[in-house]
Amino acid sequence: MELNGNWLAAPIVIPLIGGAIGLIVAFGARQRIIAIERAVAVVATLANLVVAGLLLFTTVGAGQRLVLQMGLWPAPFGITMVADGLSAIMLMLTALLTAATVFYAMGTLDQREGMNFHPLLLFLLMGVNGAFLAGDLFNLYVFFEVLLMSSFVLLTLGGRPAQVNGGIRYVVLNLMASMVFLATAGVVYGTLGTLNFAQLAERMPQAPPALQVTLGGMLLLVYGSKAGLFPVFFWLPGSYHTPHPAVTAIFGGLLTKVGIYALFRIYPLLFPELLHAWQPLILAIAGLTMLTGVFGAMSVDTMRRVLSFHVISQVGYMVMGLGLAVTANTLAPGFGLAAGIFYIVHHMIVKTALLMAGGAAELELGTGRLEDGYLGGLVKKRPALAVLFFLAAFSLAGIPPSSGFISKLGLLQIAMDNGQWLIAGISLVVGVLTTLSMVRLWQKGLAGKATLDEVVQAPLRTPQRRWLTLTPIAVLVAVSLTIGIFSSPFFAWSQVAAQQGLDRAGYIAAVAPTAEITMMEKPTE
Amino acid sequence: MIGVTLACLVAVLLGTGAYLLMQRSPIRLVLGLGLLSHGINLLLFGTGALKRGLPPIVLDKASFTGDISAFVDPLPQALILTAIVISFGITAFMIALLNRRNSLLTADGATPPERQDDPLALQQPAVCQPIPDDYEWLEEVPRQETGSARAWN
Repeated sequence: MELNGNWLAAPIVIPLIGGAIGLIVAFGARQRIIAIERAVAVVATLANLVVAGLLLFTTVGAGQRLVLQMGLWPAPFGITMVADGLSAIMLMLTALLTAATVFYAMGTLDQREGMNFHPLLLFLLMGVNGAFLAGDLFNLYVFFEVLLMSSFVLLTLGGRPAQVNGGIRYVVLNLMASMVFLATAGVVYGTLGTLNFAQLAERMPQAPPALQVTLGGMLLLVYGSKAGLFPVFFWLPGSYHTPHPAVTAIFGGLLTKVGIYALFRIYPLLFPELLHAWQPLILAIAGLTMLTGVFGAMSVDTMRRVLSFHVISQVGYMVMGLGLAVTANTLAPGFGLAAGIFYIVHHMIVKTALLMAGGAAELELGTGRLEDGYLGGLVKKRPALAVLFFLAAFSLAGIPPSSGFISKLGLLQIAMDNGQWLIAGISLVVGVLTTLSMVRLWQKGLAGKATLDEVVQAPLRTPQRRWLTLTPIAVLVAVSLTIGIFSSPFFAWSQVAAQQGLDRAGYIAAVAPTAEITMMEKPTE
Repeated sequence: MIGVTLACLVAVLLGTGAYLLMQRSPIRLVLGLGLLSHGINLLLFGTGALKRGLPPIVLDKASFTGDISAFVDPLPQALILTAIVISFGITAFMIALLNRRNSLLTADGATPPERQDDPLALQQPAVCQPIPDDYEWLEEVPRQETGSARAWN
C-alpha cells in the first residue's frame, strides 16, 4: 500500500479523537465509564499501531521521506510534518509500547487510579507522535508540552503524597527545561529568521560560529535535560518510582527517548560541524551518564528506583552512538548513528518490559523494597512472571542472544574502530555493573523466600487480570528476543534510518522550503 | 532604545524569577515560574521587529503597493500566544498540585518509618491539618492516605 503525506496526520488525530471520546464519556457508573475508556483506547492504539507499521514500511522499507504541508502552505510558512526512517522507527516503537501498556494497565489498575488513565495515555501518545513528526522547532516545543502535560497528570494519578511530591519536582524541572527550549526557539527565530528544520539546515552553516555554538549548546541542554543526561537528570530518579507501575513502565520506556530522538534529529541536521568539534564533550557526557546511572542504581533499594536509575545509565549508550555518529569509520557510513538507533529500539522495548515485570512483582506483594521480608519468593509463587523478568533483565544487561547483546556490540564496534578506547572501556564496565545490578534485583526481588504475609489489596489477585498483565510483557520480551536472534534486518533498518538522518540535502529537498508566500497547487486527481 | 529597555526588562524578570525559584516556599515557586515565563515571552516578543504604529494588516490586498518587510513580524506574537496558553495551563496544574500537597501534609507522621518511601505500602487514614510552616516541601512527607473521602475522582 502506497502512502502519501496525508497519512502523517493519522498518528496525531487517532489518539486525539480516542482521548477526547474517553474524556467526554463522564456520566453513569464509574465501572461503565472505565469500560468505555478502555475499549476506545484499545481501538485507538491498535489503529495507531497499524498506521505506524504502514509508515515504517513506506519510509524505511522504500527508503523515502513523507512530507505533509498542512493546508498546502509551502514549507516555512505553514506547519510541516516530516517522517523519515528515524521518525517511523520511533513511531512504531511508541505504538507498540502504548498498545502493550493499554493491556497492562487493564490488568493492574484499580478503579480509583484507572479512572481517566486511558484517555491520558492517548493524549501522551498524541504528544509523543507529534514530537516525532514535527518539522519545525516550535511545533516540536508544542508537542513536547502536550506530552508533558499528560505526563504531569499521569504521574500524579492517584494523588498519594509521594506522587504529589515527585510530581512537583518533575513539573518544576521539566518546566524550566521547556522555558530554555522556548527561549532557544526565540533566539533561533530572531537570528536566523525561520523555525523550519529544513530552512534552518540551509541557513545554519552560514551563521557565525559563535551563534552556532550558542544555539547548539542551548539545545543540548534542553534535550539533555528531557533525556535525563548527566548533569541534568535529577528530575528522573526523584519522580519515576512514585506513580503506578503502569505509568512508570510507559514513562521509562518512552519519555526520555523523545529527548534522545530530538538530539538525533537536530544535531546531524543542523550542527554537523559541532558533532565533529564536540565529540569529546558528547562522549564525556555519555560516559558520565552511564556511570552515574549505574552507580545510582546500586545506591537505592526499591525495585523501581533501581530500574529508574538504569534508564539514565542506558540513555548514556544512546548518546555514545550520537557522539560517534559522523566520524569516518571502516564499517559503514553512519554506523555510529545506526548503532545508537538500534540501541534505542532495544532499550525502549526491554525497559518497558522490565518495568512492567518489576511493577507486577511490586503489585503482587504490595511493596517494592529489596530487603529481606519484603520482595521475594516470586520464583515459586509466580513462575511465569519470574521467567519474564529474568529474560528482560538479562536482555538489559546484554547477555546473548538478547537484543541487548547485539546493540552493545554495535556501539563497541564503532567505538573501537574509531580508537575511542576510554568510552569503549566505560561501556563495558557499565555493562558488567548492570549485570550485577540485575543479579541483585533477581536475588533480592524475585528469588528467595516470601516472608511478607500482609498483602495490600493488589488488583492482581484475580487470575483473569493476571493473564492480562503478563501477556504484554511476554509480547515485548518475545520482540526483544526476536530482534536479538534475527538482528540483521533490524540493524539494516537502523542503517537506512541513520543514513536518512545524516542526509541533510535529501531532507532539505524533501521539505523544499521556499521564499515566496504562495499557496501550493491543489493536487489534481 | 526600546530594544535596550526590553532587554533590561527581560533580564529583570528572568533574574527575579530565578531568585524566587531558589526559595523554599511553594507560593514563591509558582510566582517565580510565572515571572520566568513572562520573561521568556518578552524575549520572544523582542525577536520580531519593535516598531510602533505598523500593525501587519493589509486592508486592501489588491491595491497594496508598499514594502511588506516594513511591517512588524506577526509570527513571534503567535508564538507568544501559544506559550502563554501553555504556561497558564501548567501554572494552574502546579497550584492544584501544591494545594493537594498542603491538604496531605499532617503535623504528626504516624506511618511506620520503614515504609515511608514505599509507594505501595499499606495506607491508613489520617487526620488532615495544614502545618504552619512547610519549608521542607522537597523532603519526603510521611506516607499517609487521607481516607476514601479524598479519593481522586
